[in-house]
Amino acid sequence: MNNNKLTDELLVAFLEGKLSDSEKKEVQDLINQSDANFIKYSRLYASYKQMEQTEFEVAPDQLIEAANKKYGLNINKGPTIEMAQGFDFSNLIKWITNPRTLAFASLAASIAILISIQDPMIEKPEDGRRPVLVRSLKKTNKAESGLAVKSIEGLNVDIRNDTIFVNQPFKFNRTLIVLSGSKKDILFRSDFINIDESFQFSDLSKSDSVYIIIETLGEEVYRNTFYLNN
Amino acid sequence: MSEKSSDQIFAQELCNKDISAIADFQQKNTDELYFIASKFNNRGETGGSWTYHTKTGRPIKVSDSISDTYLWLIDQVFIKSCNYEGRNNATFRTYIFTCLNSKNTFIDWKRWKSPDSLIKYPKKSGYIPRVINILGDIYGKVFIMLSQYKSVGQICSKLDLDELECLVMQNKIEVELIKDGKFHLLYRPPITQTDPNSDEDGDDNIRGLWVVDDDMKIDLSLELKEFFIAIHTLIDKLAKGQKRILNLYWTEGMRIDDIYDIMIDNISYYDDITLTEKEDINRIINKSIYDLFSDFNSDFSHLASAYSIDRKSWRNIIRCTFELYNYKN
Repeated sequence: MNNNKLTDELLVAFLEGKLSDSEKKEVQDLINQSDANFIKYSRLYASYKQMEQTEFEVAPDQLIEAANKKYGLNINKGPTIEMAQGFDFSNLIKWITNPRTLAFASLAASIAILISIQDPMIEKPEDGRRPVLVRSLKKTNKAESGLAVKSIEGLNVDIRNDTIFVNQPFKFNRTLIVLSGSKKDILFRSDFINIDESFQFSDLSKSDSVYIIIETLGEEVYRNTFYLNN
Repeated sequence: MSEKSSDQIFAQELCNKDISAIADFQQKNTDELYFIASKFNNRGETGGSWTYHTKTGRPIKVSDSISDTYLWLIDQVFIKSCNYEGRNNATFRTYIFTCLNSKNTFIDWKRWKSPDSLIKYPKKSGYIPRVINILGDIYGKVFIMLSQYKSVGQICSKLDLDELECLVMQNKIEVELIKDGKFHLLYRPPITQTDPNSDEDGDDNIRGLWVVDDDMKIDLSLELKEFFIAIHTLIDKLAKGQKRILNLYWTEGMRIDDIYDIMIDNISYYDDITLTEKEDINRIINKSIYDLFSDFNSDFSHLASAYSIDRKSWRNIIRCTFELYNYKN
């Protein structure tokens, strides 16, 4: 320690445990020698601990776009550290136990049952298993930045007010997946089969953006980001 | 000359507002910046009824204030990066976010938000506390005018009251506010040497001074002035450990857990307190209030009998005295 001034950087090094025993003692003496130093340390301690313990929520795109505009940047937000390192099972538990997810799941199940009762002639996919959640998420993150609209011919998606309209060239069993604009959270997932389908939500327009994927037999056939508040 | 670390180089690039460094910083840390921006816009507090995120994970539309704060924080990153020297092996990322999330930056932010760069306390409104309301309409009017820094003479003239009658009302209002722990609505204490907000930042700039305009001096009754002098005298006599705990708890608004961790790490510097568990912090707070109350009754018995203050009111008074150094508008 080259000086006896209690700088923010020195205090952070102290909090991180980066100082030798003698330096640590010197800093402790400085902290306790005046009320001003003590409060300075206490404020940084509280801040440090809070940043360590907080589980951060994904920032809305609106903020990133504002910063990009102000500083002349041209970037999209990259995958978060957790997502880059692999799927976090605890998020899956949270997602499954979320009341909204349960409501969506009930709705999706109702639609599927209704369709199967009304149209017994519908062809089923050869493999009845649905793609698992982990796979969808990973696939989404691999295809991260700079995405353009990708779609098979004749498959169209449109969002008006709180409703997602899907149109396909022929009847086929597909899965609609709606993710948050950050692509981290799945907001809705449902199978559909008709040529024209619509999915109504209560507060979709409150979102900044959503990312929509359509899968057929576990393969992605459509993906696009919709900005809802522009 | 030693080689610069990657943290030092990155900090220097941010200090120079290098575009690629800004892009890199934002890409990796946008969620943390969003958290701090949200926290600042919620009075610098976390927990309680406020949560900055949606439980559903659904993106939320942010207010202009949060968006402006987010950009202001990025500007602060440039400034604080210039102060990072990499001397004591502090990690740059920890350094920058510990500083940004701290109360010092919060005070700077409040100053930035204020049109004249001054932090005002308390914020005035037409609010009349319940304890004044129940005294009658005329007391409400006198209270509003007192809180607008009108003199007793002006109030008498405006409300067509006799001066003596007005002084009696003023004192009654003061007494009721004191007992209810709301005397900050009328009273502004002077800055003392222990005022934590007169702290200096790394550039030796005084931060967070509480500013009182000359034309906003309140016409307090002599009795009330005497009362406050008595309280400050008692608090000044408190032992160092006790006073610091009360400061952290009420002035800084910290949680018991954090106070315990801070105090236990430095316990050898205090001979007036002993700590073995977190609950001891609560005990010390309660004991300090009890001791202050006993001293008040013995050293200022005439005030104690004049104001008929009970234990509960006394706790409110001490809490307010410490909170008044805070900028909780």
